Amino acid sequence: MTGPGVTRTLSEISSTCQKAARGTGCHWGLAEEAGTAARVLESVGLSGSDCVAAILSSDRACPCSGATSGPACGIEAAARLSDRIQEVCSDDTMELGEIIGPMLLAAPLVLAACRTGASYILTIDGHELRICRDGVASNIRDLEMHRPAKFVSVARSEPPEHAVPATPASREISAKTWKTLETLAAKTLVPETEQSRSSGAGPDA
Amino acid sequence: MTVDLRPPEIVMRLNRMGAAHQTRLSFMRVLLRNLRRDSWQFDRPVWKIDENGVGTAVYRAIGPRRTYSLVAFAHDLPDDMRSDRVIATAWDATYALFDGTPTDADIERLRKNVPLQEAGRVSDSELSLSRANRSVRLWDHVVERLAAGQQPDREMIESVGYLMRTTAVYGSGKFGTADFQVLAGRDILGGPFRAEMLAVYLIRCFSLDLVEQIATQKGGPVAVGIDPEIRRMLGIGNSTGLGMAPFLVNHPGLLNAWITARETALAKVRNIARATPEAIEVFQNYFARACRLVDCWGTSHELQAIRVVGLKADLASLSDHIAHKGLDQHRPWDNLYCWAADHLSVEAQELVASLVLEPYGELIDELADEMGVDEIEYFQIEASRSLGELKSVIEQKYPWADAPDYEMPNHSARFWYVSEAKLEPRLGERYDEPGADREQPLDIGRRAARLAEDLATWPTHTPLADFLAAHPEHRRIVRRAQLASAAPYSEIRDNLICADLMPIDMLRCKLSFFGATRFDPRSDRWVRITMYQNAPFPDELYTMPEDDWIYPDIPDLADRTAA
Repeated sequence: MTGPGVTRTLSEISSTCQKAARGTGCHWGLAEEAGTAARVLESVGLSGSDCVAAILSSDRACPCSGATSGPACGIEAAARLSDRIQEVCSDDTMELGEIIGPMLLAAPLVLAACRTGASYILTIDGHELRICRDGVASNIRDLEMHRPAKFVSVARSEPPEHAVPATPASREISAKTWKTLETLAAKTLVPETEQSRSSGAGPDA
Repeated sequence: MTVDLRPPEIVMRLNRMGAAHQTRLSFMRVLLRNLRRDSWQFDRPVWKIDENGVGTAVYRAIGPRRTYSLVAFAHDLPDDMRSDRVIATAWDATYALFDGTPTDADIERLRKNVPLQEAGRVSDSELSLSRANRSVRLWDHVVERLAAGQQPDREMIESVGYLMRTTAVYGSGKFGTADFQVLAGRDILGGPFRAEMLAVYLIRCFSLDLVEQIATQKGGPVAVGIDPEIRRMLGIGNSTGLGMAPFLVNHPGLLNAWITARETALAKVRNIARATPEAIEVFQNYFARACRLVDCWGTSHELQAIRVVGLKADLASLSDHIAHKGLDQHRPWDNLYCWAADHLSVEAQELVASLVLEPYGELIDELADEMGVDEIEYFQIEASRSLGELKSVIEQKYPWADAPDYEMPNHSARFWYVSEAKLEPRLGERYDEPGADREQPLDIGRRAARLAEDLATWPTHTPLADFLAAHPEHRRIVRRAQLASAAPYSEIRDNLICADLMPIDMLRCKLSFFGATRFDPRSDRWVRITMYQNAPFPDELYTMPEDDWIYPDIPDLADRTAA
C-alpha cells in the first residue's frame, strides 16, 4: 500500500493496529499481538502498519472468525511463533506453511532477540530477513512481505553484519493504510445514545 | 522479624486505592527535587501578550545538558464556549512542551496546530500537548483586586486554589507528541509522566504572569503584583474524567512498579528500629501541617465530604494516641501504622502511610527511579510453561476473581466502552444500553474466572502453547496472569464491571501518584484536583526549603477564623 503518507508515532501505530484487529473480530489478546508487532516492526524500519492492514483486509484462516480456508492469518501465526520461540533452533528449520502477512512473524523474533541475544533468520518464499539484538537486515521489499507467502520458515542464525537498529521516532505511514486501519478501528466504538449522553463521563456532563 | 510489604489483597482493593494520598515518590515532588538537584534555571524568552491577554509566551527550563520549553498560546475565549469536557474545541490557553528552544519557525508551526489540540498535529519535538481554562470566578476577582492596587482575598484563593485548570495533558505519542521511548533515560524527564508534570509546572507560571499582565493593563499605575505568599497558594486545577480510569488496567506493569515503589518505601520506614529526635520532629511538624491542610479540604461530594469529616476525627484520635504513647520506642512507625490500621478509617490509614515517609528522603527517594517500566520487555508469553503453573498462578493471584457470580446482573451490570462521539472511555449499563458487544476488556475478574473454568478441563502437564492455540480468547488474561506471577501489584483486585463500582477510586489512585491534592469528586466518575498548590515558583526553587511545600505551613483554622 503506497501513496502519500501521514506521520504517526509508534504509540499511535500500536494503538490503531490493535483496535483495527479487534474491529475485525480478533480476540483481544491477538489484537494486542497485532498492535505490538506493528510497533516493533515499524521501530526497525519495516512497514508493520501496512502488513497488519493487509492481513486484516484479506480472506484468511482465522481462529477468531472460525474461517478455515485460505492462508493462515499472520497475526495468529506470529502469536504461535512467539509461543514456540524456544523451539526455534539453528540445526533445524521450523516450517510455518502458507501465511498472509508473513513479515509480522519478524516481530516476536525481534522481541526474543532483544530479550535473549539470540539471532534468527526468517525466510519468506526464498527471501531472507535476518534479526538480531541490534535490529533487522532484509533483502526484500516490504511490499513483497505483505502478500500471502507459500513457504515461510524460521531458524536460529548468526547475526547479520548490517542491521537497521530500532528508533522510537515517528514515521510516515501511507494514507491508504491508515485509513484502512482507522476504518476498522472505528468498529470498536459505541455510538452515542440518549442514555449515554445523560449519564456522561466527565466534567459538565 | 522484618515487616514485609503490605500484601496486594490489602493494597490493591479499590476502596484503599481510592483513598490514596501523594507521597515523597509522587511525580510532581520528584520533578521539583530533581530540578533543584541538577541546578535547572528558568527564563521567559518570549512574552508577546497583548492588552487583552491574547498572544504567545515561551518559558524555558534550562538544565546541564538539555532545555525544555513551554510554548503557550493565550486566547480570547467567549464565556459561552468555556467547557472542561474533552469535546470542547476552544480554550483560554493551549500549550506544547517543546524539546529544546523553539525557533520562530517552530513557534509558527505550533501556532497553527496547538490551539486546535486533537484536531491539530504536533511532532516528535513536542513532549506534551495541553490546554487550560480559567477559573472565571477567581480570575476576575484577582484581576479586579490587583488592578485596584489590592491583594486578592486569601480565603477565596484558598477555597478555589487555582487560576487555571487543565482539561487534558497529552503525551507519550498522542496526537504526534514524542513516544515515551524518546524520553527513556532522559535527565529529569526519564520517568513516567515527567514531561506532563513539567508542562503543568510551567503552565502555573504562565497563569500567574498572565493574570498580572491583564491586571496591569486594567489598573495602570495603580495596579500591583500579587504577593508571593498568595501567589504560592495558587496551583493548577485539573478536571479528570473516565478517560484516565482504564490506564491503570491497561498498564499493569507500570501500576505494579508504582505501587511496589510506594510499598517498599513504607516497609523500609516501618522497619526502622528507632527514630531519631530529628526524624520525630520532622514527622510531628508535617503531621500538624497535614491536620491543618485537611481542615481546608473542601468538597461538595457527599461521600468524600463524609470521608473528610471522618479523617478530621481520625487525625484528632491519632494526635491523642501519639501524645499518649510517644514515638520514642522500638519500631515507632510500624507501631503507628498498625495502630492506625486497627483504629482509623482507610482514608486516615493511607495518610499515615504517606506521612511516615516524610522524614526519610535519604532512605526512600531513590525508589522514584524504579517507577518506569518498558512494558514491551514483558509482552511475550512464556508459553513453554505448563498449564499446571498457570493454574497455580490463577489460584494464588486471582482468588478474588472467583467470588462474584458474573451471571448475576449486579456483578456484571456495567461495561466499559469507547464512545464513537467522544473517542473517550465510558461506562455503560449492560442491561439497559446497547454496545456491550463492543466492550473494552477491563472485566479482568470475569476473564480470569472464565480462564480458570476452561483450565479445569485440561491436563496440568499440557504446554501453555497448546492451550492458547485452542483458546485464543484467553490470550490477554494469560499474558496478565504471567505478569502477575512476578508483579504482585499489577491487578486491581475488584470487579470492575459490578453495579457499585466507583470509577473515581481508580482516578484518585493514579492522581495521587502524580502528586495531586484536594480531591473533590463531582460524581462517581469525575474529580477535580489541584496540582503544585503551595509549590515554589522557579524563582523560589533555591530559596525555599527543599520539598517542603506539599504540607504548607498555614495557620490553623482557629487562628484564621480569628484573623
